[in-house]
Amino acid sequence: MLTCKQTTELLSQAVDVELTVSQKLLLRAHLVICSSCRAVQDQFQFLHRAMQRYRGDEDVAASRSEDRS
Amino acid sequence: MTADFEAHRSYLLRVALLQMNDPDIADDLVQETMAAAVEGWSSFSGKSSVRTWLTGILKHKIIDAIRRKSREPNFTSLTAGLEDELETDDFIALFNNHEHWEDRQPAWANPDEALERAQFRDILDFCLQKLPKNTARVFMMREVLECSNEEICKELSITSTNAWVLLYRARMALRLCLQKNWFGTPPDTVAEPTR
Repeated sequence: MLTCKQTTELLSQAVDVELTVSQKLLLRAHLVICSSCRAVQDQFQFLHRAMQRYRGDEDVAASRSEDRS
Repeated sequence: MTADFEAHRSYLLRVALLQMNDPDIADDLVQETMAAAVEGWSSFSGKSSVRTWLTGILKHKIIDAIRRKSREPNFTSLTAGLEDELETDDFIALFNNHEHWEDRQPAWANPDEALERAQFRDILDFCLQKLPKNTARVFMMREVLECSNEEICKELSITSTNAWVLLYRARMALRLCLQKNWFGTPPDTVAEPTR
């Protein structure tokens, strides 16, 4: 079982690379029971969108709706 | 067709400054980027925004500058102070002895609406400037210059473990800074009240 600290570390990596299947399973098991880590997951993904906007990607809105579907 | 590159100058300068930590070098790199953009304007495909295209040119100028700098005879290290940034643990207080949250972390209300606001973008800039030097640099290389982790490690001569740690620390620090300066205390009517 992952700790919250380990979970946030993996959530950061997940923004940059594709996690392994076992990492994804561990994450999912933790996120199901932890609303704080779910909030951090949303916030890390939001930061990524904010930086895309910062660097001037104009298709941010499009990629955002894909994330949600 | 022409483009107003000047409108992007201050953005390019901020990015270059976070990479080089030297206003003169940053200024030169932006100047070179502008010159290359004027020269290469006919090759701009329009598939990305002008700013994204300029960012790509700046990326090459920055990597060239990093390589030049590391070949200087009196060169010591690009990542001075790295050990301190890796060792200090500002986030330890967030977690208890079992590495679980000390306090419940709240979700942010309507974060994407904030992206439309100039005031929020100023706060984001403020938070980026506040990051420790190497942390900011690695984060900007990853998220703005879109360098791969391999590129970051190679150009800065750091291990991939250190790159992961710095990216993590950047995200945790930005999250706290935005929480403190925006999402925790909305300055005015940030969002419509939700029912």
